[in-house]
Amino acid sequence: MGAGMKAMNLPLLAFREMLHRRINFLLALLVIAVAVAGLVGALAMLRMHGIATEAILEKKRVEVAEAVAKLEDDYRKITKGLGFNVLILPKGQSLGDFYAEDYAAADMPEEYADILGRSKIVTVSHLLPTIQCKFKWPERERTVLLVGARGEVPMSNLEREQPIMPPIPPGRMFMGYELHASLKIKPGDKVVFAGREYIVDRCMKEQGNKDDITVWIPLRDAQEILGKPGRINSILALECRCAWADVAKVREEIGKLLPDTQVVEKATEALTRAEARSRAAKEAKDALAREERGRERIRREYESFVAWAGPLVAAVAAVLVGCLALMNVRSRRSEIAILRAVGVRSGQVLALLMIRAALTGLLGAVLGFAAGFFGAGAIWQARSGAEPVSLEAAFRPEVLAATLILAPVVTCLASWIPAVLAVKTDPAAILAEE
Amino acid sequence: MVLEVSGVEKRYFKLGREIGALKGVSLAVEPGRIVAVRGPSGSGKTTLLLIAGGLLRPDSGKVALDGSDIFGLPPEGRAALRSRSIGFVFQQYHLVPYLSVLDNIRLPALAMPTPDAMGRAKSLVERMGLSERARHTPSELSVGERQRVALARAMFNKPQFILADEPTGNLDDRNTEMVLNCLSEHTAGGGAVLMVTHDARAMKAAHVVYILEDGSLRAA
Ligand SMILES: Nc1ncnc2c1ncn2[C@@H]1O[C@H](COP(=O)(O)OP(=O)(O)OP(=O)(O)O)[C@@H](O)[C@H]1O
Ligand SMILES: [Mg+2]
Repeated sequence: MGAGMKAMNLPLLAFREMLHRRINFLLALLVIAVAVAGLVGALAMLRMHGIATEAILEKKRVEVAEAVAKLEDDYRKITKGLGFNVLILPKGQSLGDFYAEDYAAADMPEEYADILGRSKIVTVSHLLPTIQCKFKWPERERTVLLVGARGEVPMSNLEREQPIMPPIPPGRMFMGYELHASLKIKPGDKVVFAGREYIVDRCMKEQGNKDDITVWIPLRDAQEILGKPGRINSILALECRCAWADVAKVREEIGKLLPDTQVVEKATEALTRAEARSRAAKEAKDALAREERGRERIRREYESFVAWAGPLVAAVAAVLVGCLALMNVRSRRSEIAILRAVGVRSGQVLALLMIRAALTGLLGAVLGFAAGFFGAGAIWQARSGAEPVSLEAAFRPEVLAATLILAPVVTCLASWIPAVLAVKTDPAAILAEE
Repeated sequence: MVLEVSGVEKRYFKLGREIGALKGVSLAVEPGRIVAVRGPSGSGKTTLLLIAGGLLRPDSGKVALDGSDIFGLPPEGRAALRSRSIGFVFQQYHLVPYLSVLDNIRLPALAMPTPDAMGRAKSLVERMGLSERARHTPSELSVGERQRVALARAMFNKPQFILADEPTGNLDDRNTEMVLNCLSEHTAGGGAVLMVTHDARAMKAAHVVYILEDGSLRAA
């Protein structure tokens, strides 16, 4: 026969009362649900914001990781294969002149080559100090590019198959194509150059560049001919390898080691690419860090907002709920008095009022959580350009648990004073009222 | 068990003016007895009933149940005593508006767990001739029906004493007779009744009738 058959108990009484005084109950429910919805909604938005941020950052991280992987691959190729090439010039040498004239007018000590060779900064496969100068071959009335080389001999085009030639033996000379072709000189011929006798050791093939008008002789001879003993004007370091696959760093370290020099990379294709990628990877990393910082800042602002708005909303809701509870116990004066008159203990009356508060709080929490959570989801979805976030991912059971515990607790606390006032009131005064 | 009221005085203060409601009232309610009190409006009848039932503390004097002062008990002890030994019928009935007739009648079961509370409530409904109204709420009842529900509630815990404030005030002859029969059955079973009434039939059913006038009690 329904509820009527059940044993009389406090929760049942509380439930009936809530149905009877619907307006008060629904108002309290509304206050609680709105407060809970606001807070849960804010937390859900925060959560979805976090998830979306993580998704975006994860994409960026993958991009950065890919860029870095490519870069590392390039550096591995460089360090394993050719390494990179570095040209060291005296500081005063204008780079414009150097490229236009193809030789350095300024000079520096020859021992720089040995310092570099001994340094721990780079491992150099080929260290090629040279002195080079445009020079009028007095015996032949020809302007040649005179190159004095120690050890192996560099060619001007490093990308070609054989970028370097073996060392020049003493008293020997290498001769460029244009010179030996026009002067009809063959390997083994004797020539006189600036008063010195040389046997032509090699006649070069046609290169189509300044090598065709170049005469290569041992470094010491060239220094003496040019009147610059112990001086050189360039060091070419080929196939350098170092701990840092970072050319800028190498340049800086060499600069420190050899004062008054400038370091020019004779970039290979791989190196150029590597540098571009290095820049790209750095930019990507910077962008990622900026994005992370920005998002973190927004999240913190939002969190601090929730941190002060949360208690404020809870306090306002508690005051409203307390007022409604006061109105409720005022309208139940005679009912409470009759309970007391039939022998119900004041503790039981207090329990009755607290059960009502807890039930209201619990129902408000459920409704408010549903409204806040799904409302936040709907708002998020409706926001144009927002990263889609699944509701399951945004759901946090601890927030639900806290809501289901805190809302009834706060409602009970807010209803406590009115309840105690109601219980303390003398029932006789009410029951005697005409 | 005997309920004894001795030398009870009660003054109310309203707007700085003192109203002497009771000025040294004594009476005893013994088992098997119906004691009736009548008197003009405002003479302090309801006040006397509330004091006798331990709901209202007198300014002086004593209310004793088998010799022990019930106002010497702490409030919770008095509540337990009421739930065990005293049933009230209020002038205003004070029914719980959202409970059915049956639930209103078994309300005292909240204070004291009662075996087969529902069965007892139903038998009381039948005795009061309210079977047709068992599921109705007080607002759906006539005043006379409400009065009978209030009496049924007072009888639910089978208290030794029933204190009733005009229990037949709004009843027709047939229902007055039914209520008085109930009260007589109650005293026949060893219980006692203290009632306020203006009804001649009710006073006829009483063993002792007092008149309360200007706060003082005298035999009729
Ligand atoms: N709570 C109160 N505060 C102030 N005065 C009160 C209070 N209750 C009753 N009185 C006054 O005490 C006097 C006695 O009241 P009481 O209710 O006992 O009268 P009564 O005999 O029951 O009257 P009625 O027959 O009209 O019910 C009245 O003058 C009343 O106005
Ligand atoms: Mg009265």
